[in-house]
Amino acid sequence: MSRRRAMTLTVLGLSLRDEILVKSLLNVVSSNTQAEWSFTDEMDADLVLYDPQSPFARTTIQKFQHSGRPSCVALLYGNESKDVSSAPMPRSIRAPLRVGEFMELLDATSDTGRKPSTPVMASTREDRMTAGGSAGLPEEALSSISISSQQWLTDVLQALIADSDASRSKALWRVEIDGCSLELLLPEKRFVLRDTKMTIDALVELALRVRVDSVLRLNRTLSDTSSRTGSIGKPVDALLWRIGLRMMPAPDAPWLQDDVTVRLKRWPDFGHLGAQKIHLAFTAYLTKSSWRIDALLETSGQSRSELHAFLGACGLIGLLDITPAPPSTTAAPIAARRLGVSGLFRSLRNALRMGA
Amino acid sequence: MPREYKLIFTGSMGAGKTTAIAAISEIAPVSTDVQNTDLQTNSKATTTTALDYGEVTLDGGDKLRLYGTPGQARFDFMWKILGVGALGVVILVDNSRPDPIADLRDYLHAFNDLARGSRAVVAIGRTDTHDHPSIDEYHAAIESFGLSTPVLSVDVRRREDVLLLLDILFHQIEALDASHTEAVDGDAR
Repeated sequence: MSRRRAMTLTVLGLSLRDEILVKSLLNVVSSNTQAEWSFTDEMDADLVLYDPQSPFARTTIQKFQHSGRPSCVALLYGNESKDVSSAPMPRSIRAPLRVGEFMELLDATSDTGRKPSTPVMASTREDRMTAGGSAGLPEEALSSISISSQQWLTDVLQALIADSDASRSKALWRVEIDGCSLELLLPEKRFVLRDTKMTIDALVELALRVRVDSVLRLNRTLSDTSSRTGSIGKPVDALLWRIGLRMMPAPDAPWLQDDVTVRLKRWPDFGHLGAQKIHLAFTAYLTKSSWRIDALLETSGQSRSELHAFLGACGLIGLLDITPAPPSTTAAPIAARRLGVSGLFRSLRNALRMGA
Repeated sequence: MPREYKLIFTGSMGAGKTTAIAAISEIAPVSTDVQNTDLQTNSKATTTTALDYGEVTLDGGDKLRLYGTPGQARFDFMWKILGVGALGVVILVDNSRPDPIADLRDYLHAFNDLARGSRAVVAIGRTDTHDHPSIDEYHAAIESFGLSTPVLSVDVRRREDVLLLLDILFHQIEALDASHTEAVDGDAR
């Protein structure tokens, strides 16, 4: 049996969200590519995916191009024309990344002798991830994607959601993890647990310590699932949120550094997430403006671990924006004594028995 | 002298305004429900023709007055009148309605001043049986107004859900007040 060649990918100038999506997508597809791909933070990667709008990325890429390595591919967000040259390697790929195109890019990089636009290989791969119904297959499992090799549930869910966001195709997936089955409805981003005795809390515990066994695309419709379960499922964000609050962030997570600013894109749906008081206060501030981590810690008077857990959960549901803090930015302790304690609202909360 | 504060609950017929007020009012809510003659729009037996009223007593005898607007669009002249001087507005949207996004736009338009002042929160009901439109679609509609109003899926029959809505409203106003004060203090420095 031939051993697959090990190759590495990194990103340059992409937002944190896009970086996470690239990593997740890479995890999902890597067992189906010709080479064995993994992510690296080092710049000696075989492939660099970069944002052409980033001045830093552009400068770095220019240096790379003189040496010819690594292969550099631009991720295009706007209406820039995509490079359709007949060169073995494409120089650009359109955001949001689609599974088929991404796999095609990886294979083209690992096999420079094969044109990336070879249609047969590309469509076959695409079908394996996102094809619709097939008369020749049994009712349940339509197709399987081979991500059984040790992926975390959060990575799998984020990758499937990212693919659904890109393709907008309806699909029903089954994710098996340590004997527990959850069915994921996309693009609705809802899930149901097949074992009705299984609780979300128990699933969160599983997701923190056990990796996913398998992922199947099912040959059923969403309405079939609704009628079986008597509901339309629970939001996936509620699951990701709970896992995020419990996860130990990686030491290099951006929101662990004091010298970055964070902001929320919008309010999370706390109706489903089960927020704590301090989450509401953090959100009220972070949806109004960007904050340095140290300033927010000082203002809120909360522990670092509390804030990190909150930011980690917001990152998992895709609402967190992180940028380097401008050099002139200083901590803003002015509001420290005001967070949630102003007179009128203290009186209102007392009268409504909301607690402190 | 005791002060008075006003909180508005608005939304389409059947969205749960009367229920939400009843969940938190310390007095039996005063309702002006009559038999619903507009069964084509909503099949509920009664509906509010003027307004609902409830109240909560605060420290020092201050009062929080809770007003529920009539849901039918023909009463929209009352919405703006009620909104003047209000502490905030809770916009209740029924996700089972034919075009709930259009409903939301109507109420954002009517309570534009409050929404622009971060004194609004949007509550989507019946998402457990009707998952369209999605929360993302509501956010897109709100962003098209240049707003960033919170959107929550809730069941206003549960008191804790109503309290969550109010808590979010209060946190928004507090954050706004703090940032205003911060700006003033910063100017003074």
